[in-house]
Amino acid sequence: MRLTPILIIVGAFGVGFISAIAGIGGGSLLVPFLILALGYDVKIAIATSLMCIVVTSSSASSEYLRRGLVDMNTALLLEPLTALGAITGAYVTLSLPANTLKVALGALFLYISAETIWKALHEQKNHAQTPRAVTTFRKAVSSALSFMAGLTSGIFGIGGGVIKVPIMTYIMKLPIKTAVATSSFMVGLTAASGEIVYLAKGLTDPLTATLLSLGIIPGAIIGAKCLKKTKPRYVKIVFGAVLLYASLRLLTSITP
Amino acid sequence: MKYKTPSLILRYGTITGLIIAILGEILTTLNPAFKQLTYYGLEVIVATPIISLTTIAAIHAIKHDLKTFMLATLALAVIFITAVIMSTKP
Repeated sequence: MRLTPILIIVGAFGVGFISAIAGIGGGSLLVPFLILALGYDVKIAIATSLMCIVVTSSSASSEYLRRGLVDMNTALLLEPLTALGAITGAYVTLSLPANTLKVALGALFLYISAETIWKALHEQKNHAQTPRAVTTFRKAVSSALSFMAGLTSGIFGIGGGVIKVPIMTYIMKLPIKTAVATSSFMVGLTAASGEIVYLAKGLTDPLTATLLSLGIIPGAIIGAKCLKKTKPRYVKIVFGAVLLYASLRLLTSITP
Repeated sequence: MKYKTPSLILRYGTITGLIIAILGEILTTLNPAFKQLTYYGLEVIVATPIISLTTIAAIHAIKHDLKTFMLATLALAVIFITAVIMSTKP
């Protein structure tokens, strides 16, 4: 399927807009968009999506760093193993057959869509958490789980915030705003680490990555501004439904 | 703690990388040899968060905050060593 560059930018704008309102990273929508709508090879889609993740998270974490919202100690404690996971994940993707990747992607997106819809339907007010001392055991568990977050990011071309934010809020006991800012900063580093491998292997499509970045940034900015006017709950349900459809399409597109 | 310099590096590094990549794509339509310029743009984008982290390590080293400096250096070392090993593997 051939689409003009303008349509790619418009599609990325939509991904950025929905991602900002739904409060999720763009990767989980970008990868299916590239595979299903633009007809890209699964590995090229993952590599190109990861490049866009670097752009979007760098833009967002620039603001978080300026406002002092990033918990640097937590970020740096978790980042070494996360980066290691991302680079290992990128290498795993290079060696896996396309069909296996499609099954894994389909299963992951099925899980994310189910979780998003469930949370939207059972939404509760966040209780403010105050930072408190974290035991060495909790730090060790968080570091180990961060490796999994990095691995997921490297293999599937997503940011991995879906794993990092729960680690920081439930195990490291960070307030949700700090966890989101810290995760955003880490996502940039993690995605950049995985992308080094993909760039070295020439899997990233430079034109598509540039066009997607041009669309996703204004989409995310406008989405964030529209956040107050829209009901995130309904957007999350729509996002979950779109992702559910994408995961089913991915699972049924496997060729013998 | 507010990190103004790393924040500026992240913002302008990404913008610079994108401008170089766009310029590369436009010039490639005139001469295919400029395709390399697009890759340089993407490399600038990928290097930006790592340069930002290096600056954070330097800021903490200047402030004699050895714990954070060591953690940042460890993260940088892991990124560099594993990326070099994985990228050179066939």
